[in-house]
Amino acid sequence: MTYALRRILVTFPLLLAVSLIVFALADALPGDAADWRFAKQPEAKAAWRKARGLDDPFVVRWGRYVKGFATRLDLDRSYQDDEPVGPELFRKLQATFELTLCAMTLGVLVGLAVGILSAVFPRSPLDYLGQVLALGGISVPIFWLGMVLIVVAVKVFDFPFSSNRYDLALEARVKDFATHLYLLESLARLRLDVFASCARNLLLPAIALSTIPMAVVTRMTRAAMLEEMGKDYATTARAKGLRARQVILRHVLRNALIPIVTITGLQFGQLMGGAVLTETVFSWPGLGRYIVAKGVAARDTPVIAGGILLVATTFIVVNLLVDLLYVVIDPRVREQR
Amino acid sequence: MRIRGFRARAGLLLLPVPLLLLCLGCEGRKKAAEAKPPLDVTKLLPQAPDDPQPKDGGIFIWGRSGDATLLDPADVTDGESVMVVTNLFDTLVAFRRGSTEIEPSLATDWSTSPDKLVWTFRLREGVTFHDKSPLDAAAVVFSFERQRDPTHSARRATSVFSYYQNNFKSLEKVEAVDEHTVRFTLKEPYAPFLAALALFNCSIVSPRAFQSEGKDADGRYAYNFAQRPVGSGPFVFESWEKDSRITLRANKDYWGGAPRIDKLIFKPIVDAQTRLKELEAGSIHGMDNPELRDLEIIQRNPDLRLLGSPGINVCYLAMHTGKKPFDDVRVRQAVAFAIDKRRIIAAAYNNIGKPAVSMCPETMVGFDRTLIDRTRDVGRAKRLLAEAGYADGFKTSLSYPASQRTYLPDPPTTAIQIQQDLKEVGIEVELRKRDWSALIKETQNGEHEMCLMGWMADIFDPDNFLYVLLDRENAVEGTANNLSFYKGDRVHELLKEAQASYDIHRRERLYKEAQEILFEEAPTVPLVTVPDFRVVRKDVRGYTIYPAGGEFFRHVSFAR
Repeated sequence: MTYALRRILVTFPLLLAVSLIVFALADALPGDAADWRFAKQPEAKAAWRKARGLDDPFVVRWGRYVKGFATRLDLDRSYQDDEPVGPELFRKLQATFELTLCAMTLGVLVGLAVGILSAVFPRSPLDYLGQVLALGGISVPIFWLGMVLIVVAVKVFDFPFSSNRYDLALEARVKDFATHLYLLESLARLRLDVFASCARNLLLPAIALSTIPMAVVTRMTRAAMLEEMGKDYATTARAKGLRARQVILRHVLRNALIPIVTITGLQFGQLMGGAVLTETVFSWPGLGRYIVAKGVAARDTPVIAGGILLVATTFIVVNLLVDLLYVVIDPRVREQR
Repeated sequence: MRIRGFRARAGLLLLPVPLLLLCLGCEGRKKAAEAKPPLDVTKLLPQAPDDPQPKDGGIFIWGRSGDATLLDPADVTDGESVMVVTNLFDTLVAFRRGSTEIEPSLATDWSTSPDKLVWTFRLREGVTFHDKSPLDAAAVVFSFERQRDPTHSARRATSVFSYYQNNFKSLEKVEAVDEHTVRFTLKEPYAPFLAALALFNCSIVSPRAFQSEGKDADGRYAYNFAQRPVGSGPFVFESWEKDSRITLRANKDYWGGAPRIDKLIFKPIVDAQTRLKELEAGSIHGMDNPELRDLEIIQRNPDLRLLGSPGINVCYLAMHTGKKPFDDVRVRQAVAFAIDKRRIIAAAYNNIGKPAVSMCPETMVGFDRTLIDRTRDVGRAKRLLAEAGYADGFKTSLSYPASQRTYLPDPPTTAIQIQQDLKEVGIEVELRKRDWSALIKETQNGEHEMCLMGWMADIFDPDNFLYVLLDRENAVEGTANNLSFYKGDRVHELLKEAQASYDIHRRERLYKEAQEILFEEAPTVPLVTVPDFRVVRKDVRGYTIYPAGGEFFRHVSFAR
């Protein structure tokens, strides 16, 4: 298990480096929300900068930032209203997390199924359709797809499309929730009315967002499966009299899974930060949109820095999990180290 | 490895796809069959019908294009924040429902001294704030003093109070005469005074809320009022989930009668299409800023009601008169002759909106109805340029906002139209797209040559347009609202005189002369005035557009 341990330990300096880069970049941005807020009062701005410690040397400010995050999960206060940005960012992170989780689940399940079938039946109509879908998933712009989904859902199916995470009439039923992971927590607490409401509101954005991992996973699965199926051990297994289904699902798929898991992990991290378009089209209260709307548009440096730090952290953690997963899937990883 | 035998079954998996496509096709044909005459926006009503027996209760959700920035009524400047605070607070005087007329609110009556410098207001008795503390003369004085006095404890280091700075320069002091009487003393006569008092920044705030958490080391109250506001209005602040929703609940003890709905939720949905779809699906009950090209679709939808009111705004092109070649009046006139407002409205406003002839909108008192606009005349524009010594034209730039505004729904198209119009008379325009805040900064500092801008009424008074946008007192680099930096002496005299006069006929005469001079001098080219649109679901009752801005949901209810 030294591999796993080493892999976990490497994460901390990595996080520190990320925080330095994020902090330095945010710091280097010319102009911020405060310029706009104090447009007519240089004295008030100077006093405010002093009170917020913004005139301290860079290293001091970075140290304070890292310490605040490491000890209290504090992400500094907004330049617009001096409110802590952490709580809101964590709330949005959880909204994005649930969206990404559902989209990934959907995308990976469908992607795997289509990929496997395409590989098993190469050059069949199913294979061609799968490839067209995969290509479409990559190339169709998500804001267009999202818009079409909404129109079809509302106009054709009378779907009660809403950008709330749950029906606001259920507010009293979520008051005592410990997290903002409404979908998961309502399931854990068996509050099925809340769960149904959450699931309904997640459905459309999750479908739209799932097209990206679906496409990638389909292509990756198809390629990896075809490669593994062409290897000798697969032919041998068939020759020994194993049924095709057994060969594919038990032997070939397992070996093909390594690149698929890698790409899934990368995709998960990417979607966490890159769901901006989906979140905008569906008005989903997620992190990406929040960083753009509240951070970038208003040049609110702490929101930008904190948001990117959270995305980067999630990315690193997910990839850590993926690396640890290799140990389970591929015994060679364990033995090599 | 090849596997046979599954192929036939695999084909079955494809079956649902064409079926689904078929379904969608049928649906599309059904919808396309209905066609109605085009929309006439002038026939739209500004109000959803009242219900004689409204239903009690319900959550009303208002979809809008952005989140609020802060909720301190004295410190807000953006529309998204304003529409929230107008429901949380009361002012001494208020706009009559759906109109720009002033009526009593917290003040039941008032009197003025003969020189109009001393105003005495009698306060409504028995009014309390949401925290149950009494709303008395001391609270009124507190609400104004914190804006006037830079050392006041109820003022954050970051407070700007720009509306107070702009509108109450003439206010000398506010005193409590007794528990229910307040006296305002002005330094000089200021005609828009009463109208200015109806503005959100004059909301009366709860002093007890400010005092509730003690003071910081720097002597200021610790309570963060801008995030947890306490007023006396028809709704009580409940929670604010940033960029997601602001929830207010009905004030059951409201002095003017409790609202019918239980809760009022403001929900930012940035994309206008998404906003409309949520409204169609019924997850929100009303929305602002529909896209102009969607108006006809909305009008045809039996579940929705499109409301409209002639807007009090102006979109304009400003030329920096302090810079060559715009220091020459002939060049400015040439630009005015070159621009085709109707074509801009057709291209960028979906043919909705009226060409503007003055910087004072047609919908505002004091608008000079005798003004006749220039019609486009390329030959005349070229002659004027030649007279000014620019027979071969010149190069300049136009700064315009990247994001759309109410009065500027399609900034790039508008800018390109202007570019093309000016090209025909020999003026080469480089387009400079700017973020909103960057554009404000650039233009306030006077770093632009030409800019595309607009203004919406804050106070219902022509002073709010003409003085703010064209007086030399507002042409100070760094804080300018007069973006043409026009410094005409006669216009300044007229505007100051109008500010000090309470005689509406005299004021109208003064503004008329000012508008005539401004038309000839052409420091700006007024382009268009856009109506205000809102959409509510058919079962919403009592919603009204307030032309002077802000949203007031006191009278809203659902149909039985």
